[in-house]
Amino acid sequence: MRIILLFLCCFINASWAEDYSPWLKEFRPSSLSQQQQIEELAWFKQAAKPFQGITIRAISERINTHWYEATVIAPLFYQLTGIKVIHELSSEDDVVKKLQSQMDLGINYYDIYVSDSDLIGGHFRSNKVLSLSEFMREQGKQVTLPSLDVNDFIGLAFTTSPYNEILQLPDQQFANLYWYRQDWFARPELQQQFKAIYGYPLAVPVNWSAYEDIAEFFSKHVKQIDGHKVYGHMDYGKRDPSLGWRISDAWLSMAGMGDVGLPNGLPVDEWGIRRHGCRPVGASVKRGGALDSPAAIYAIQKYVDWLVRYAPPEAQKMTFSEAGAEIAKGHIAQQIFWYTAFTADLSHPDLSITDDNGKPLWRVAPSPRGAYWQPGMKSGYQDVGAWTLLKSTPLKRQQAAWLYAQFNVAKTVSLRKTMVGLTPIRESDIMSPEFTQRSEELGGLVEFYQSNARNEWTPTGLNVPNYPALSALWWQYIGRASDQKEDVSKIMQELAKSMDAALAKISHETRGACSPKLISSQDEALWLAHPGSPKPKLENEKPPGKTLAYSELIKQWQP
Amino acid sequence: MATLVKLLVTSLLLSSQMLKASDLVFNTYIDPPYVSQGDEGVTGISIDILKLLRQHSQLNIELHLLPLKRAYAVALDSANQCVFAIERTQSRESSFIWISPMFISRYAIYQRKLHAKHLASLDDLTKLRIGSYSGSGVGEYLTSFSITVDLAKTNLNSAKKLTRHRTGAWASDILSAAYIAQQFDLDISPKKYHFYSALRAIACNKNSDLGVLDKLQKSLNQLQKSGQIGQVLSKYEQQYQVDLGL
Repeated sequence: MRIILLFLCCFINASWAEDYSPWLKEFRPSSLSQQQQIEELAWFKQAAKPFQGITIRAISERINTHWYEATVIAPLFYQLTGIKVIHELSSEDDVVKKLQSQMDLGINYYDIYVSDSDLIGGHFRSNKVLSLSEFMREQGKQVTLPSLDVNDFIGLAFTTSPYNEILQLPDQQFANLYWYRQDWFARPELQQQFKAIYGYPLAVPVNWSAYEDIAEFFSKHVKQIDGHKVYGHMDYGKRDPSLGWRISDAWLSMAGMGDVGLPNGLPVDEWGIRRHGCRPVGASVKRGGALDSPAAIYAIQKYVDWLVRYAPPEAQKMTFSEAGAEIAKGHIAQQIFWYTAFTADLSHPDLSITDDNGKPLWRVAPSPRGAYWQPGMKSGYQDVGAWTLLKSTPLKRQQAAWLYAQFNVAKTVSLRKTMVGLTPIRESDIMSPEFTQRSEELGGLVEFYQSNARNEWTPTGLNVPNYPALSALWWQYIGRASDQKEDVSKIMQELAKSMDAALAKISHETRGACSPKLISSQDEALWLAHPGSPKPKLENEKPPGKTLAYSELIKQWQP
Repeated sequence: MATLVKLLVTSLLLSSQMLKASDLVFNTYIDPPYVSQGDEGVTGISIDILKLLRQHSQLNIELHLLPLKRAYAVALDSANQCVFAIERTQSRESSFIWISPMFISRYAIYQRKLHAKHLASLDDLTKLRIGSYSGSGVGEYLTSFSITVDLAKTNLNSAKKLTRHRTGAWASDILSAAYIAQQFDLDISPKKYHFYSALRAIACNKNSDLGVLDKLQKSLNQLQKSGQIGQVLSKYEQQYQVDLGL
């Protein structure tokens, strides 16, 4: 009897070992067939054998996609592989600080990070981030998924060094797009009123002049819709780290401060930093940068003016996370740029910005461009959170963590994760019938990601040599304009000067072929007369407002 | 009345002279095993690191022991005053100049020995009422995920609330939890669910002497890189049988 029981026990265990139903049940839809999924799952199970019993720590920012990873994918990965994952969720600022501390001190706080690719300029210069290209060829070869298919990742260009080495593996992506209430814009009485005041149709703004007019229209002329107070603009202004992202992510690029070039302006990028070869050489106009140029002052002045004149008064004291919840309340007509990572949060049927069937009453469209913008420049910001291994992490832990990273983006898992978090990373997911079918409920997100426009919305690039060190400057200075109402022109001069000083400090601390090296200061007029950025002040910074029907604009996004 | 005024003036003069004599004042609070008070005076992990900092930087750093809220308020209000070792969070970032990191704290969820639930992810915590204590920061973190949090005045009180069935679980940093387990006979399971880590740092008033703070940061970096702070942490990891996973 005992022998029979023993046999039964072993038989059941063996059957369980081959039973992938918990994973197949959760990870659907998938771009793979069920048999291909089983093959991938079996590969992970086999590859993880040397690491069973190990516990690894991962950290990422707090968005829906990472909540799904931490609460669903990590436990299923553990069940499959025996590798336990503590997947921590924290604020982006905290993730950056921990990563930077580990890079500076060499202490293994985490085994793997989901780090925004905005840090790529520092990553490739630091020599502290593991080259995934090399790792996949050598020490990580045995733990690299044969069906990973790196060419399927749409954001790989943003995570690759100038030496063509992949430094980070994309895990989630989202863009900053214009957001507006299509149902309000479509109301005949509002269309007539707008045309009567401004002389052109109420539709999606193509330039900042139109955005400003629409903001004024809703805040100062319409004032109330269906008995409720409404506003023509939403933003936030509290002197807090999250304010910095607002500006460095997209404001200055949309205004047109930098040079033409994709993914980032060259030689001057959207941070206003000039690069000679691979060396950053200055941010102030005196050093050929653009951070205190007329275009930068124009951009920040508009940001402050719109916040004060057209946003709800409480927005001036709000942070990113506080402001994020506002548009769901249904009193905002438009927002110049909005992070699509929150698409799922705005699609609940019980919100006042969705109809009775749960379909959105809002749409996303390309963000309007400022007076200095020229064709060939980036059109906005895209966030690419990507798996990043540091050289200071012990090899065995790197290997186990790499398995976890790949599991989160493997084709077995990826489409399901995309459907939950709406932050697509793979071409195969984006073009899948399942994602395409959600077009109607996602207000333009599907069309954006299926088009080539996604390549014009780009992260911070190679001109920024140390993102954590330099990003702290943004919120500290811009906050003085938004929160304390100091003079914008003076603040931008001080910010540019501080950015130059910070670049000089980095050049002393990290010496290398691509480390910053400030060029000597010259008369600003010489640089302003020079072609490209920094650009001289335009005689007219408010050209006539221009709008386009959503149906026309969306054509730009059709494949 | 004249005597009282004289006393007050003398005391003010004395304290201002004391402040002049020191480059910085470090305010801290009882939080064993980071800061404890006993026969040997003020001891603990934070105090051991402070001693290393004093020695390396050659700065004159005065130590004040205060309740956490008071220590925080003093650093917020007065130049050259700091509070340590507090969590460096995004919401606190703009309020101070930070000397960072001193160390990392690992946080876990603990339950009573009997009928402990299996916890596999943060989502499982939404079904529990979790105890923490005011000012720890971790309570705020859990609340932001819509998890029900019960705040006690101290970490020990929070642990006791768990044993008295007033909460379903207790969130604590693992070194503090190990200290409490060693010092008090509480019916708490040693099994834990790890969920969060926090950088602990020195937060200094924004009007402090920047040259002094720069010197302090450089010393902290050197002590981290040389492994001396790591050695302090290892000593306590061994003493309390805890693995910080560094």
